Amino acid sequence: MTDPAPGQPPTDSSLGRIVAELCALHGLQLGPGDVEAVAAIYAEYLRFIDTILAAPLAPEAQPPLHLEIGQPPGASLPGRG
Amino acid sequence: MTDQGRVTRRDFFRLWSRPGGVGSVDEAPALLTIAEAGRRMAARHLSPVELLRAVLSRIRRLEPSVGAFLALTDAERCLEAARQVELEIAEGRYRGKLHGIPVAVKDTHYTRALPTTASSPILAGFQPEFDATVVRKLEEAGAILVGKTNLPEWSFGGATPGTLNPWDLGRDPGGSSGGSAAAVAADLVLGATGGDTSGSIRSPSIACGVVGLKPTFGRVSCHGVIPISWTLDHVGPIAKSVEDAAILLTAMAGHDPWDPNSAKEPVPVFTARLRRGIRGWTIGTPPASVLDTQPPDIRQAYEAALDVLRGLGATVREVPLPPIFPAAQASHRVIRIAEAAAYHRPYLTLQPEHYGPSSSIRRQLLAGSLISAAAYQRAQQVRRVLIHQLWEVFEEIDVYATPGWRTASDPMGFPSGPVLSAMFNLTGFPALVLPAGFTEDEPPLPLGFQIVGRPFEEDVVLAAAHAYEQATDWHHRKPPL
Repeated sequence: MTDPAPGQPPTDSSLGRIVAELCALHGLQLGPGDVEAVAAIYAEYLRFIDTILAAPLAPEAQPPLHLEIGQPPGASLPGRG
Repeated sequence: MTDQGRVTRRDFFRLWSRPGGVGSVDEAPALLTIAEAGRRMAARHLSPVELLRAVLSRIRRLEPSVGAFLALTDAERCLEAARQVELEIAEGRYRGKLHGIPVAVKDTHYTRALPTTASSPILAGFQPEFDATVVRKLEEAGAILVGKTNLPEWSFGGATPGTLNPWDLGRDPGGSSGGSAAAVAADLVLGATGGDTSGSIRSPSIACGVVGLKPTFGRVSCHGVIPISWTLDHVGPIAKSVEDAAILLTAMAGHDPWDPNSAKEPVPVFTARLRRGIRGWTIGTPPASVLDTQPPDIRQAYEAALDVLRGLGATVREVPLPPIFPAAQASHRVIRIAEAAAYHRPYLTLQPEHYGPSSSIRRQLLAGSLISAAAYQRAQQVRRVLIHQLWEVFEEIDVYATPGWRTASDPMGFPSGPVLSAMFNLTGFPALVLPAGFTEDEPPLPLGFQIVGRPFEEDVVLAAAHAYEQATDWHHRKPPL
């Protein structure tokens, strides 16, 4: 395994090591073959996150309240329990 | 058999093979829609016992091939319920169109009478102490629960291992509510429920040639329903016709104080304005850049469906995608897996060995556990912008129509439905799929298309779908069983 160069995204092998370390920190057990497989899936999620980060969002954009989903913009949420 | 009135599939078949069991019965009533069976029972032209016997006979005959169920209610208990309905109707206590109708629910719904497993070994033998709100509401409407339907482990995936598509028993019915869609398509029940986080009601409904409705977020309570993702999950009906979907939704919908996301919106009788027609309506479509990516048979069925809608007096108009649409799928996937990882945390840490042998779900959940809170919140920011932008799209249209799709299981475990499905989980807008043709495969497989409406305008979606359905005959065709 190699460390990524400073400022560069992790390579697959270094991502595997990161995943293994993060799982250990979070108390998640890994079995045989898990490191590579989870790293491959995690890499996909990192790509999704890149897409999200590239989306044109105003800095003041806030996430919705869960209760707001399905309501018109600006609604005062009268319909939610 | 247990003393709690539940039977394994083997027990069920043994019971009904005995002398005095179901024997030779007329199965024709099982092929009726809920609406028609309800009309006949209300007029006392059809006995609820006769209807139930027809359903049980079909289950006995076809379930070994289709594999739609994980658990079946004891047949004698079902018959007892049907006899009670018969008595109530005779005494003038008819409760409405679901009274005496045999239904099934997905095995994510808590039921006191039957175990609830979500197809996971972790929940093997789990016997909830209460019914999911949606189960309770269906039973209060008089429906008779005949069984719990199959799904992929924990509802993850676009296939339903163990269940086969009634249109081609060599193929999968789609997922994750594949057992429910197959049961309805094979006339093993008159209606069923499903859950939809990325398209899991709609995908199998398309694959099995039935109607599937994902209602508005909050319209149907998720209390007592095993989740994938709390803010993306929806529970809704799977039915043989649009009218049946409306009947089921009317019973299933309504505010539930036990579900923090439940809406207090009034629940109309969804059948009341089903026949209003769509003359003068504007139907929005995705731009050609999206449609051009569709497989030819799906595109062709979609274009033909739009022609039918035009013929009914609607105007079909291309509308732009919300500007933030390119980030929609990424946002959906991040939110889905982060919330799923939160739910599964105790199982992941305490019983990791009890996830399925492919390990893809467990590995997805492990990867999801590593997503940062900042990334999750960013995905939610995208979601809010998408919701606002979709409302703007709907300012110009009455409903939005998209092509259907076909799904397959993703080997890494990502949701297999397209963004045109998941986008409406992300935004909470109601979306219905219905049959719209067949492939040229041998045997032919169903094709469908999707109609989407503004939040809490399921009545509008249902009216558009009903108008289309009445102008076509796809929903009358039956699988070659």
